[in-house]
Amino acid sequence: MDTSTLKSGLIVESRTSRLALDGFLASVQGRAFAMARAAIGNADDAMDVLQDSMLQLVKSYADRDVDEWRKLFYRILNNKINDLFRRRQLQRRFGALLGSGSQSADEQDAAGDPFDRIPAAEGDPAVHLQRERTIVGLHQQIGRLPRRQREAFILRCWEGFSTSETAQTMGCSEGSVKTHYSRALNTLRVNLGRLGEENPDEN
Amino acid sequence: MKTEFEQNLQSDLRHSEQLADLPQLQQLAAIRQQALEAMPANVALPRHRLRRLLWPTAGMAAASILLLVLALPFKPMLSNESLSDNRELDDDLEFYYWLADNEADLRG
Repeated sequence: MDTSTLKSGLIVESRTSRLALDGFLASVQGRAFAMARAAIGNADDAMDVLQDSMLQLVKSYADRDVDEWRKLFYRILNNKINDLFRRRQLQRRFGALLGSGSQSADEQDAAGDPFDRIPAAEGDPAVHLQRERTIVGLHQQIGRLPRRQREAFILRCWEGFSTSETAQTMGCSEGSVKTHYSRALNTLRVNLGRLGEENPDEN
Repeated sequence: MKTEFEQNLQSDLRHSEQLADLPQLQQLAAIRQQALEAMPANVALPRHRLRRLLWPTAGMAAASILLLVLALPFKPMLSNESLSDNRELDDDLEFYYWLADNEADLRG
């Protein structure tokens, strides 16, 4: 096989990989953005995290099998979310030391709830509004879960991974996944139940 | 099997994926394209893909060699029929020699 034939083969292979990657990223971007937004609580930061995650997958793992991309991508996404939390923690500590705090609670309220931008949907507005409020509350509760519980919950319940796939993605045992996931569900059940009690009109 | 609680949570969470507004959707498409632009120029074939290609390639090579061997010109061996023809000719020759000798004797 001569050099020109080999180069042509590589170019075709590269284009095929690009198409496959494009298809994969398009299939996960919506869910990954929603997951990051739920975990972080901020749409802009979620977009940044998602961008970094896509870049790392493409740069480091484009040559992996398509079946591996999903687990790799969610592992990268979780790591990027955790990195963001560490940076925020450091910023808060430095801010406290320097006397200039990070964005105050009032400033955060003024920035507005990203869900205020929810476009109007068809159907009964009251039902739509109730569901959106439920989702807002659910996202907030997910963001408050401890790190490993949040990761296990997002992968098992939201993405639909099996216990085995979740364990591979999280880099832990299946037993740990079951423990984290079970605790996450219990926490959500309790807290979401409390939310329902606080807002009886919505039930 | 998921409980009803888990199923409801999953349903709500997957519904929330549809809640991105138009600017966010455009931004998602843009960052996806930016990521693809960063793809390495020559993406190497994964090793297990090379392994998958090994046997078909070896098979094709073997088939090509076999075809080449079969297509080479060769001298056909003498057939039994031609051998027998030669034997008959030899026998005839003996007869003709004998006949010639007898004729010579008769003339003689």
